[in-house]
Amino acid sequence: MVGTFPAATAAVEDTFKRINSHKGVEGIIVISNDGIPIRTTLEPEITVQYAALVTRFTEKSKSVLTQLNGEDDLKFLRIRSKKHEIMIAPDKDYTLLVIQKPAVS
Amino acid sequence: MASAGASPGQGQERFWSETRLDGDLHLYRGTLRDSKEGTTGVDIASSWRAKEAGIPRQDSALQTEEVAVADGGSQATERSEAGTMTEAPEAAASTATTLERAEVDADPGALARKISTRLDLEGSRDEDLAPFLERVSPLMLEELDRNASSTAFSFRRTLVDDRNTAVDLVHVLEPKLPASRSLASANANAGVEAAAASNPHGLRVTQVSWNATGYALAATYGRFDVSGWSDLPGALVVWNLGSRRRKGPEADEAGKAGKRRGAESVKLPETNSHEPDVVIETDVCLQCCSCHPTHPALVAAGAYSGEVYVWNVSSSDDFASDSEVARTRITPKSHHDPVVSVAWRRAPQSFGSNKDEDYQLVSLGMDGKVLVWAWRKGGTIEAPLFGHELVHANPRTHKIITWGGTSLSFWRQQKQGNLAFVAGAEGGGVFRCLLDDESAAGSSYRSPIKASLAPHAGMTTAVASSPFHRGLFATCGSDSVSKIFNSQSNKPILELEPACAGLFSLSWSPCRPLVFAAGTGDGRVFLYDLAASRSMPVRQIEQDNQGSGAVYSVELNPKLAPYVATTQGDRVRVWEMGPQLTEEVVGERDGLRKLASSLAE
Repeated sequence: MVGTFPAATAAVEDTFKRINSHKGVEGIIVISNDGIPIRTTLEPEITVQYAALVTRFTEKSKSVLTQLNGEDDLKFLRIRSKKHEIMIAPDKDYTLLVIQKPAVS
Repeated sequence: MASAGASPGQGQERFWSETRLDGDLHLYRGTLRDSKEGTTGVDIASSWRAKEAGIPRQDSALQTEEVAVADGGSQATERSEAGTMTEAPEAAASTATTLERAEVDADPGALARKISTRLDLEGSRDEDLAPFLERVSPLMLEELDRNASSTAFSFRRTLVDDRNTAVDLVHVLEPKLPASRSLASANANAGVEAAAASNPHGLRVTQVSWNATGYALAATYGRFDVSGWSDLPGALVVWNLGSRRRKGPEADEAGKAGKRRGAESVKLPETNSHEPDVVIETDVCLQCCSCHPTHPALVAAGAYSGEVYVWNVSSSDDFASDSEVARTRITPKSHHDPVVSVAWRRAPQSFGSNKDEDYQLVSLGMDGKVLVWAWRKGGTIEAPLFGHELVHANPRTHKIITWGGTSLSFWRQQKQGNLAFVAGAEGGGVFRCLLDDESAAGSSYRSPIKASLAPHAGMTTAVASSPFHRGLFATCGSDSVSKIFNSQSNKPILELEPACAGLFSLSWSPCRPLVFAAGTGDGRVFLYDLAASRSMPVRQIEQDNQGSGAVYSVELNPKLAPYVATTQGDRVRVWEMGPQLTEEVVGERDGLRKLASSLAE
């Protein structure tokens, strides 16, 4: 089925590769706005967990911003933890999520 | 009476014999027949019976020893078998599924570049996904780039770690001070009187110093609150904690006390206290001490009289005369006031060799003199090699005066002979100085002062240079302020005021570049971790208020990182610090460098 759109698939894979080549990147997930993971470079179980939790979190953040200012919208989220940094780029239909291990300086 | 030599058989020719009652043996040859027939054989008279009677006989017995036979068996009964197998790598498995899926996709171009796993196999949305990623990925890549170069979290990360800053008391060290000359007979009593008698002159710990290995602690006893002529005795006391230093998992005092009681017989295990291993008594109060940087048994001390001593505390005798390695003489060129600080410095011409005597002694007196002594074993040091005098203008009156010293500290890791150091003065002055062999060669003492830094309002009680940064040092004064200076600037980088009481002692951590400890006049010790907070101490050590008094010395162990020694009154306490205060964190040296280069407000 994908084979019928080789150019699009190649483009997706290229983007994944570009992000993955960055220092410290541990995983990339694309989630649909229903909270279903579409693409991942991680284990399926972890991916599902991330997708479910991050979708809810993103929704919440979005609603905070729109309630503060109706014209505003969430563009990017960075969550810094002890171990990782989770970067979330939400969009109309999908959300891109990158998990990065911060550089040890 | 016939006895047959063989089984009798009818009609068989046999030998047979008959022993008659006369004792003769008759042998017959012939066929056995019925005796009734009256046929007898030949009678042969015995030829040996008669002879036999004449042969002497003797009975004897013979027996061989029992042959020992033992059965033994041997067989190795224990067997062991070991097997090992690695699990099939999961990555391979997942790759396999990926490949399978790729085959389903039947797209050779994507197969080569396959990175992600497709999870929703129902419907492909790559045609939607590609534009989305195109939209979003520039932002993501930009953020990733920014993240890589960001230092926003690199240093402060320690803050979120709730690492252990606990400080536990591990030893209370009590002195065994020289008995009073007048009260020599009165110290047989028990209890409080004994305690009073053990320290009849009210001596205080004036300074503590860890030895080169970190297992022994030297302390000098003297008084800071006397002036003028004093005939009070002093002492150097050394506790060897090496045999007692065991890190056990149990934290309760009882367990530690019990363990220690098992290891050695301490008289008062419940108070967790120790008697000293070496006590060297002196005629005058000792005001400061410093252990040799490499030799674990050499201790230098400065006396109230202005003398400087070097002792070897490893000698078994407790008598000062035997342990004494060198001492200075009082001459017109020596100190005429109490020596307040001694330090070891490497002789400039000795680099390359590594003898104990390559380290010269530097002493600072309350008379403002900084003298350098070359010592030799078993000798009296007649005169200093050279010296300086802290002569500098008073910043307020601009009058040139001699500043009485209180404390001196060398910067570490200095290679050249001219050593830079920082000196604190009684009048509050803080001076950056240079020990200069050439210029000091003259007969009079020159001033070593290169710069005068922002003074303390009261006496500058302690100065300590950072072991990790050349030029960074901390001072504290009786005005209860502790300042951190970079020697390139006159103004302090940081001013800290932990308590209302004056500060009397200061020590940098030898393992954490941003940690230092300061002791107050009311017996508390504040531990600062500048990585965690630049304004608040991370820990406060409350000492027992029983013998309240100033903490004249606090010393972090240079070799065994968790230990810190503090003094109060005539006791020394050794504390064990938690990992936050002993383990260097990533980026800490950068933080120190940043701190040093940050400008004064």
